[in-house]
Amino acid sequence: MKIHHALIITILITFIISLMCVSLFPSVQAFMQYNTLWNGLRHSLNALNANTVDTSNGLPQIDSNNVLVCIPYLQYSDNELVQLTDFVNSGGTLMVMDDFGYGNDILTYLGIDCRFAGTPLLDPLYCYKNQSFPEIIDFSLAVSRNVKEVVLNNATALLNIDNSMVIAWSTASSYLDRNGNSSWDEGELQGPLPVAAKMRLGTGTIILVSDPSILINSMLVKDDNLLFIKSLTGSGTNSGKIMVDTSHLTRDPMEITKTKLSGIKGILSQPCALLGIVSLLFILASIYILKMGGSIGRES
Amino acid sequence: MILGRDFFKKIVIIVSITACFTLAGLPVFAASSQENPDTAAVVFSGVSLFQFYSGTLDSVLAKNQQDIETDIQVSPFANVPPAVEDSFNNFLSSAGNLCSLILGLDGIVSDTKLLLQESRYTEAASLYTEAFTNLAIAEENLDSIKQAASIAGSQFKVTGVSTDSSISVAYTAVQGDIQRLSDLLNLYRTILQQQQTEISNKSLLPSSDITIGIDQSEAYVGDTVSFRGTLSANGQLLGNRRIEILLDGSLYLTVNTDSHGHYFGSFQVPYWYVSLINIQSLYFPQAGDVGNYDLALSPSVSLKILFYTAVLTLRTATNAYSGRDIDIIGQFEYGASPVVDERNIEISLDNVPFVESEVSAAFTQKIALPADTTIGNHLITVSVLAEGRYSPVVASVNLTVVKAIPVLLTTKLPFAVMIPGSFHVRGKLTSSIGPVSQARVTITFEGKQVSAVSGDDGTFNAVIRNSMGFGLFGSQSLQITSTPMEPWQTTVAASHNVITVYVVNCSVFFLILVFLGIILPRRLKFRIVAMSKKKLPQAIVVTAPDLPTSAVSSVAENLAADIGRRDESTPVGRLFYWYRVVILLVQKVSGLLLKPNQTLREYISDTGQATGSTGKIILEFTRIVEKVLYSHHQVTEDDIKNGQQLARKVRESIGK
Repeated sequence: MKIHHALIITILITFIISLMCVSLFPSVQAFMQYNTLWNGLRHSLNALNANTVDTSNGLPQIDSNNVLVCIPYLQYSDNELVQLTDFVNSGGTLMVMDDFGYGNDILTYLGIDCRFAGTPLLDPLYCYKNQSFPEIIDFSLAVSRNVKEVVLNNATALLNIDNSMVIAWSTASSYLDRNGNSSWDEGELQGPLPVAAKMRLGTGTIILVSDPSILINSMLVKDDNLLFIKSLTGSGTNSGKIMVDTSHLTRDPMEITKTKLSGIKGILSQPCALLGIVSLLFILASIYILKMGGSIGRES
Repeated sequence: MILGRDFFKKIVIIVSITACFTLAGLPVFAASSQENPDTAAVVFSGVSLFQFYSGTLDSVLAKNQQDIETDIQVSPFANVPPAVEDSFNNFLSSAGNLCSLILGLDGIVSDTKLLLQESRYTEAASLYTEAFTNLAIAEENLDSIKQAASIAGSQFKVTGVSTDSSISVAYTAVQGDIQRLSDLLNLYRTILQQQQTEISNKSLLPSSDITIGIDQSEAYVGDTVSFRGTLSANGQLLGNRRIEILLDGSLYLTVNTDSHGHYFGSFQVPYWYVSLINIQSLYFPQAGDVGNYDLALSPSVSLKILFYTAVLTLRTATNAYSGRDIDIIGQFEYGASPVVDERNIEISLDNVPFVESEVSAAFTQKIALPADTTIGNHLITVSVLAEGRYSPVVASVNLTVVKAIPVLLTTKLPFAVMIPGSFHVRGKLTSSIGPVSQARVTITFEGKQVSAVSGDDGTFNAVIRNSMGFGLFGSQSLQITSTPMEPWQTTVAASHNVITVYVVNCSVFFLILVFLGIILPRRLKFRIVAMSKKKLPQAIVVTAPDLPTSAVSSVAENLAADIGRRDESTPVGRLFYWYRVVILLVQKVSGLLLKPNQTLREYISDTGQATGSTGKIILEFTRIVEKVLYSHHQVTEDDIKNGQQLARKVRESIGK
């Protein structure tokens, strides 16, 4: 065996192992659609019968009866903001779920006065396990009667919003921990504070939720979180689907590779790609067979 | 460069290192705004619990029952230590009870005050038993609250911390609230005791007596009824006193007694459509009578009330559609009462009035259901206001609002389509309430959407034009979605499978297959054979006379004859000896013998599969032998040495 043959084989083996690792190792980053662990979206997407969309190359055609869910942990470009505005203006429902991300950029662009507070909402009394998991037990009539209790996870609150638009409030014992010392201090806003709101914008609808974490696998099954999301999005009552924009989430290289690999799988499953692969296999097989036969002849 | 056996070890090491790098490349957890709820630490806050207690007690002091009820409703969601849970629940229920009792005591104190002002001492006295009982229960509840606060204080070890700490401040606030509540209860006790003393002093007043009678036992609503009666105290008639006439306990009119203590008058029977009205007269001392006479209330006299009644029966269609008209059919049955020509009705949908009309005894009222009426059961209520002697009538009928489900009939749908090309999809939309007109029909095929609008008879026609695609052939789904314009029709979708043939792609693919599978191999084979023929004749055409003696006859015969003999006398013999060894090994491995008239090259080729990679070495040796057989080449010592080495290699390789 010659050295270049050995190198090619080594590279091939490494490449195959890498692909297998990428495919087989579970995704562990938060909000990732392939992540089946506590902080992923895999089970949640199934439970909500939701799909993911990648808007990094422009917003795909989305039916106006669908609900587009944005988790803006990365900044939206001006072009993307224009597309979001167009989507809402065409009668679509945009659900912005943010805590400490770039949700306010979207609201500013859409001309909505409301803002995500951007500081932790803590509730030392009405909470799940500790004050970072505030319990929400006060809902407007816009929320289904079956929703009694929603648990947030390291959430924030909504500020500067008309009370008629609010659909969920934190309890009176909650507060916004502006100085981050995990206890209430003089001057810090106390509950009840809005955590979810719904408003009309032109012909479209905007839904604001001050915590995207209720979507993750471990949170959606807590209390009535699933019912709450279904109630907000009208899932099950209208024919629209929930489309989660995953292109504005922070992603590590492995997650990017996973996404690309999935894309490649999709491309390879296309008829043209399949046709190409079959043709390539034919050509390679023919060359091999002919080479074998040719070597006999040539040596003669 | 040729690599040794340990090269595979090197590959394993390289791959292992690469795998380690791959593993090391697993994502690093970034700081996130989530926490695993299943592994999160449980933390209880004593400060917030005491602040909650204090807030609840403030609500009790403010007599705000609603706030306390809200606290009780949300209490199951509070995160409190298990050791405090029971006392927490006791605290809330006690606070709720205490607030309710305080409100009750408030009511008793104010009622008693009013009764005393009206000299109704007997009634006032009767309230005291209830008041003191409630006070005792309130004090028990306050004790429960103290105990709950104490348990929480022990749990959070309030006594061991600095008085300036937030938990100590919160606990002190609770204790302060408890003390204020204790003071409040003491205040109620003092007030009640004072009022009781006042009543005892007034109980020796002369008792008053009042009577009432009416001139008829029954009357229609709106009729006039006369009454009369007397007022006396200790057997003496009291003149010029104000008497209140009560109907069912409520003040209806006032009259004065004449100078002889008699009173009389008349009143119009109110339009109360009830069977009986109780009539009483009331005297309570005023001005100079206060403190001299007791309050007097007459026994009640019953007056039977007469009025006309009607029964309204309603009917409507079983199902209704949002945005469409429905008929409400009604019939008034008056029985023995006179029939009214027209009556005003008000129609409500789910208790929300939306139509008023004037109708006859039998009527059909058309109403348009709002377009946003939700699907499901609704209640249509028809209310008829009272008119004179006619009592009001209310009747309801259930209404089920549904959406019509159109049926999609495709009259023309191809079984198979050729791409590129176009085809028609025709169909008709009908529902239980007729053809679905002006509905938007969207047809999706091969990722393309085509829209059409249904006509008045519900028919539609769409042409789908398909351009080139990448497929070959197969079954594709054709989806038809109908979105009706009318709110009472629902969206309907249907899916059909259509066989799709990509004519151009199939042709191209077929040509590729033909080229790769038939033409290319044939052409290449032809070329290879041609190349072989160019080289082979030179080797075959070599004439025998110039060859060595051992090679004069056919090579095969010669070799076959020489097998088993060892002749090292000539260089050719020595070389052939080693070649024979190789041939024997090949025969052993392949099981094939060298046939007559078979060239060495053909034999080596036929046994190539059995010899595998060793075939190359055998071929190399065969070339040397062929050179000797088919040319004037004289065997040299190098040839023999080379042949010997090659034979050894063959033996090492396949002789094992």
